[in-house]
Amino acid sequence: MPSIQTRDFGEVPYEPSAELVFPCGIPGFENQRRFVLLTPEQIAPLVLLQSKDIAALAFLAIPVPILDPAYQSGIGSEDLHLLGFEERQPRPGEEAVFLAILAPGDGAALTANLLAPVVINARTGAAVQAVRHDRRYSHRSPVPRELLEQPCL
Amino acid sequence: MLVIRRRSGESVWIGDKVEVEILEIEGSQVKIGIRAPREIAVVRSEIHLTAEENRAASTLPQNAMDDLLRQIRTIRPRP
Repeated sequence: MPSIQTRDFGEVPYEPSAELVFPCGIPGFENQRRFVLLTPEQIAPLVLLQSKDIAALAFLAIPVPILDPAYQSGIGSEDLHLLGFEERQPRPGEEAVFLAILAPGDGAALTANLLAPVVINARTGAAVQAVRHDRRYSHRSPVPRELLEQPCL
Repeated sequence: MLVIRRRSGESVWIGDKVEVEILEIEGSQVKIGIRAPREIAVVRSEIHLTAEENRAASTLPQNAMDDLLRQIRTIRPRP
């Protein structure tokens, strides 16, 4: 099993299927295309998007269905094409993984970017940060503390 | 904020390198064209917000992860 040097958890082994390719990087990091999706149990239910090329670059994220079970997917057609889904919204869970990147909010709180979920084609590992065209969801959605204290599903 | 009224087909200049043209107005949507030098990034505001947010997310302070690990009280199902 391959392993990767992570920002927060030392050397971590991972399944090859956890390798992701962002063909256009993500906003602010357009040149970073190769990431690995890690699920260290210390941070469950959160996950870590670890850059494959820069050990110091990693993003903490939360699966969107955990934060908002009713989240309505709104991926633009260009992003759908990059993901290989063509003109149809993928079914979350089965075909696609939706993650919201977490950023520090006020104090110890974290906020999640539901305006721009990371969407992963579960079959191919192709990934994009699909920035919505509407303002239905905030780029700083609050993450309730209780979510971090819930039992694992 | 500077506010200028323009009609379809009219434009405004920002400095002497960037031109913003109103191409089409349809209901609540406006189609605009932007001519700018290559070195000026033109993105919709949602992408700009997300880039800022990603930069903040990537520089999670050193102690934030420790705080977070303290916050997370994962209750494992009993075997």
